[in-house]
Amino acid sequence: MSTPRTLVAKIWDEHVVAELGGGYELLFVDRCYLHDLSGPISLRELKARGLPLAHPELIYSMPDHLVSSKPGQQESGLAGHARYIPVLREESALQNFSFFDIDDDRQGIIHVVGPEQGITLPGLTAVCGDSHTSTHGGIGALAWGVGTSDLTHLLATGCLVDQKPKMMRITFEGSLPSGVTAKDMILSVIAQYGCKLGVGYAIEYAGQSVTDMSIESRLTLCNLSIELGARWGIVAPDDATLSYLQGRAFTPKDEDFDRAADYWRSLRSDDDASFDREIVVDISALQSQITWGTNPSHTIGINENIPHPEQAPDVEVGEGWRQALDYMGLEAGQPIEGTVINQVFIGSCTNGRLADLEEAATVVRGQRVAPGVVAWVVPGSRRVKQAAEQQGLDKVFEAAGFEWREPSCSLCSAANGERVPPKWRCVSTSNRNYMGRQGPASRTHLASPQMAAAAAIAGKIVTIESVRALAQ
Amino acid sequence: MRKFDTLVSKAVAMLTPDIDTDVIAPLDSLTSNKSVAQCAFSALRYIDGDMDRCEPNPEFCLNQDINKGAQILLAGENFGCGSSRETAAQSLVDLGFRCVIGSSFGGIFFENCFKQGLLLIELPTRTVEQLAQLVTAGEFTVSLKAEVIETPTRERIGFNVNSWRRRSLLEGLDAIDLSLTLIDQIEEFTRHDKAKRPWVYSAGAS
Repeated sequence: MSTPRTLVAKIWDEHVVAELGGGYELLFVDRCYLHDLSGPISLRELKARGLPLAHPELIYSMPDHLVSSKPGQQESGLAGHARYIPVLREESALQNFSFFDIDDDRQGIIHVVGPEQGITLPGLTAVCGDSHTSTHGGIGALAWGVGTSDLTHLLATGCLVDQKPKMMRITFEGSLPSGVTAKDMILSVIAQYGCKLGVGYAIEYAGQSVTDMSIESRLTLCNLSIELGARWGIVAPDDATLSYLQGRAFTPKDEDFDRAADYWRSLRSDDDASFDREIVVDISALQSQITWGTNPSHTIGINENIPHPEQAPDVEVGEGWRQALDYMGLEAGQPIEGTVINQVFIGSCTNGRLADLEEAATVVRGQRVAPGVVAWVVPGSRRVKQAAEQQGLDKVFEAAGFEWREPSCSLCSAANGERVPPKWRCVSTSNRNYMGRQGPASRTHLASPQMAAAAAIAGKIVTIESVRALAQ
Repeated sequence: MRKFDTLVSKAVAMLTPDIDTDVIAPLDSLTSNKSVAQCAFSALRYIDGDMDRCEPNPEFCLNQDINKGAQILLAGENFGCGSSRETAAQSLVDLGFRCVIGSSFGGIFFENCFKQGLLLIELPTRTVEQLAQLVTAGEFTVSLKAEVIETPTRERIGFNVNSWRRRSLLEGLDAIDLSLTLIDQIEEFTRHDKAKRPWVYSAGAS
């Protein structure tokens, strides 16, 4: 009988084509996702080498980073953008691979669209020139991000050269308190263990709360794996995954579905599989989280104080905290609650799905955005936008003074020219609060959709409950 | 791919932990007419991170005359964490670096650097800090073949690079050319796989 294996090892082993040396293997990739930044760069590199696409039928592409989120969405008119989306459009037509253009009903942020269209399936390897490809692990796929050189290699060969990662399992124990979400769970892990915990690892998430959470929440959990340093995050597929996938446009149908489902149900870590590292996190007392600094590990609970650099585990980390406090214009030792904000962004591949908008709407309903606060809701895809409008969520947000915008990565990466102005403070449901991420000298506070909604209403960083109480 | 053999150069230390690839390579270089080199490290390098005014922050190590011409970067923990953008690796190359020495690196960044012909060396934090003390003492010699660093004070420090990466860098191997020699094996794999997992291949490209 074979050695017990983790879920990640099983999927990895199934895809090995050849051993190359030094632990590097040639792996077949089932889904190649191209977005509008890395896709055109790699397509151009491939063309310059005079090579054809190895597997156009496995490529799915769409614009997301450079698309304007302004209502009546168009391609951005900014200089330099012409090098990108038109290349995807032209090459997809020439070389016959899937392209969901800006006016296509299926278009959106690639890590929202892949799962919601049933393109990503359990047990598949899926790659994109984007670190948040880890998101698709929420479907039980082995999904990861690469740079453009590796992406060009994938286009040319249908494969990637990579090393099997070490295995980590993070098991969440206890029940999630009301109003606390997958976003808070993963932020709290990064706060406790730091941004390099997962370097060299694939992380499997487990525990009753993970089993109980929606597929959309699993996608959020896996999305931030890369902020822990792990290129891969995964949740074992189960009946909830199968229900989620059934009937979606690209999901197998009928007998194909049944046959696939049999295989998908086998995809789990063996009971006696050994992990290189196991971590248990108790979430029964978890507060809503919010970042105060310039990387995702600079996170605290809403009821906590901004830490002192002297409290840091070592001198270099402390110096990093000092620089972060200076950049963010915050004072050590002060409560984070009550920090005045200028802008709110609800969207991104982290928290731009229907459930995220529904949760935010429950906080916003019947309330008004604080004077002077710019508040945006950017649905993660056309499909999410349509579904939200069917429920009247757009009206709820607009009545409160939010701008209801078009699907795009928008303010998460500010690649399309949409920016948080210098020194402005933005509570954002995205995934990175690095210096300059949302615009030069911009100040990002990462949080859950409900926390972002509450901040918009209060005009400052507050507890969700305090804003709900206003509605009564 | 550019080969790496031996490097003799002075080094510059940038030991703040968790310097991420957004800081190393803001997206502006992809979407404007600014060069990768101009945008690199802008949040640290320019006052207010302003890439139009480009007013140098005198406290940033790369703006200090004493560090100009350094081809070796001594980095803090988790250098290159975050985004997969390969422009981060390109930024270092365009700023003149050929080698980065640190205790840990972002995983995607690490692979991207080797693709750009950069040698990344992992050494314990303590060792990196000790090397940082010597940056004003003269030049370092890095030999990939011997896997040895010689400090300005003639001390020799051994390091290990993965055998596959080492060979690729020493010989300037092109990963795509290499993989294309395995085309038969790849086709054999897909032949078997289509029978085993037909649903992977049949999703309509509609």
